[in-house]
Amino acid sequence: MKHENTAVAITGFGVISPIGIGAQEFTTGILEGRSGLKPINGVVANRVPFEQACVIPEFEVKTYLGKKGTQSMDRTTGLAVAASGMALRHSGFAITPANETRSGVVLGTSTGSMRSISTFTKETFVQHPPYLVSATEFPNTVMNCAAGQCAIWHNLKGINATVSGGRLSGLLALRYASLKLRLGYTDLLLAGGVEEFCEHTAWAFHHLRQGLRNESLPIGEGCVMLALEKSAAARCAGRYVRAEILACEIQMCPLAQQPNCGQLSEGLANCIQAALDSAGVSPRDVWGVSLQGCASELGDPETRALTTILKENTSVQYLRISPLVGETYSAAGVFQIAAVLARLSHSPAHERVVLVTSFSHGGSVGCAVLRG
Amino acid sequence: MRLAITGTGMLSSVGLNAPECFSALCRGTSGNKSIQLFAPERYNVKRAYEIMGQNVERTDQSSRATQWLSKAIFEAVQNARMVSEHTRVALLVGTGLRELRSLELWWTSAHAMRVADLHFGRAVQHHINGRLPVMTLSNACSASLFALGLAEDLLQLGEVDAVIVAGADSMTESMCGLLDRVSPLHPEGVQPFDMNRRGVLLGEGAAALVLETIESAKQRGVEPLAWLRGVGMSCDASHETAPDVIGVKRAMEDAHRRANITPEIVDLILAHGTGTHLNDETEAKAIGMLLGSRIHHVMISALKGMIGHTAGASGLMSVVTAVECLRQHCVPPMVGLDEPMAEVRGFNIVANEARRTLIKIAQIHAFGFGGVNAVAIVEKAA
Repeated sequence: MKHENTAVAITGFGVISPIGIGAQEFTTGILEGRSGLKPINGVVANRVPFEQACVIPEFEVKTYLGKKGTQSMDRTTGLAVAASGMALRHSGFAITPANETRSGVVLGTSTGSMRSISTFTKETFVQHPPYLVSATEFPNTVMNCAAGQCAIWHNLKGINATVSGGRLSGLLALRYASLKLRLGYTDLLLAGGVEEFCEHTAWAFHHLRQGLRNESLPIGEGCVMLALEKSAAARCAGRYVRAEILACEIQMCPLAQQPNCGQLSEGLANCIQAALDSAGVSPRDVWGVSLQGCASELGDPETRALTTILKENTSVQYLRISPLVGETYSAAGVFQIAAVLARLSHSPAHERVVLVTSFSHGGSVGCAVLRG
Repeated sequence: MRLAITGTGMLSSVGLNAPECFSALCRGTSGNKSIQLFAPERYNVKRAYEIMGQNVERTDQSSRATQWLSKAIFEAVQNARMVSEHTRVALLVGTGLRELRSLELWWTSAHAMRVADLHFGRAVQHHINGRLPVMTLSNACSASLFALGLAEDLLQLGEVDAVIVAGADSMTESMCGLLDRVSPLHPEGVQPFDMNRRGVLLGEGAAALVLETIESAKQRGVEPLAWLRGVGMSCDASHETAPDVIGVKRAMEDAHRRANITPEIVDLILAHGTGTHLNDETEAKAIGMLLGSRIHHVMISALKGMIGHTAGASGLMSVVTAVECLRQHCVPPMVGLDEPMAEVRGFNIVANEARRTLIKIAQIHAFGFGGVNAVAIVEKAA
């Protein structure tokens, strides 16, 4: 296995999901196969195009983080700040003045808070001249607001990055964070992805989905933050290594004008192979795959790609998180990882290698190789 | 992790290849001349450190930076005995203003140019007869040292086996005009760390080196000229233009951490030394804080009194020079320094003439506007 001395470990995770808040509740939800789908009634004030979604009505920013400093905090930021705190506690890593500049955040979010951006922008049009808008709402409209607040709340004064990559955001954040750790730029990174439910994303989702009729997943929301460190350092400090990241590869596959399942599955297969090569793992050694699972009228490029690569391996376990938490977009990749961690923690046995695959109809493909 | 520097190349106002440059620098040669490239009558600043080549012409040409860059890369590649069959190679270029001078000439004198000529990629690939990926970064005056840091990352991650790192910048009339407006004292020469320093003057140059893993060098049967021990970086996050002592010191500490050394074993510092009021004061304070009582022992020199401020190329030009210092046991003098400023009292500055002495570890500085700092540590090859 390559990168033995620079392997990156997941030592904890924080999760706020439609099937449970906190690592323990989430794990129970996974094992029970609990559905996060529930009525939207009362979750948002305005009309939305459907009656049910995978939402988290019990998560309220002020309840979880207190009233102090949360007066103008939006849901995206609240989810990320709360999940970051959970991840730190779960890992047992204590932030101190001695290590705070070597600790940071890498957050995957494709847009930041759509509600904050849309509301603020609307205000600039509908207010009477001179278009006075509330200055306290402005910070919420910049994409790195959530990552910045995570740093402020938890004293993470090192790397602070916001990664925007659609459905690939989660794996992109994981790759970026792993590279920074392996190269020694930092000692602890909270890496993850966040997606909030609001009227604006609901309508956008509704209209975008109309082009892809068979995409049957309901919209979801939530946040997963992973506590990442170098394995050697984590073991040295006596922290439990829940899983190791052996590889995380992202590629763009060239697509013709119209998205095409064949091209996408070929691109994803190449990416999975590259990740296996980089991890030094043979397809035979793969125990499971945590799927993104977004089949549509375009077909199912993910299953096709995996069949090509894992054809001789008939005992692979498939984990499917998206039917439980819905389409969580920027958080999808990290939800897949959280599902792996939940599954591994439930039955600790011999070491198992799990793949996490991700793709978008724009042609970005990704694959992470975990061992735990 | 030690990385092998297996070839170097350089052009400056005092020499058109690396050996020529180093011997001129050790003789204390200055490339300071009155401005030749454009009519200096319109400016208060009348002098610069230009590359005039063998044929001194008053007329300016397009693509000068690209030509020097190509030559420096060619020299480094030849020097490293690298052939195009070495497949997993990337090329990183650090520059401040790329081919801005070509654009100026297109606008003011109707010199022919294509948009594609603004990029170095095509010309460079043509010169080394290869189709390797060319990436250009522009981090102000620390660009080429940032490129060196990125090369270190690429090799450490195993993405490639060798990286050609380069830097180049030519003078531009717009930059010269800008400098003219912001330097009220109209310097005639760069005087690093001098009490009466009056500011910076532009220089021109290019530098390149081949960096590879120990395994790659062994496999090819080439001996390293020197080792790269590490590149440290920092961002001041303090001021748009003014340098910051703490930020600069953080870059030095990061370099030492990455190189796994302590300040006690540094023999030589090639300083950024721009001769501006703020840079030199800030840099001297940071060096003083880093070295403490060791300040009397560590030799300090700077090249800008001889070759001017070569912008994005300056960091790598100092690295290529430092490699020769390690190999030839000689340190070029800090030309332009007559009366040391108060902040460098007690410093072991290589003044007046070159010093012949054994050096094992050299530290190279390059700091850019925006507070982007980079520091490299190189070590003598056994």
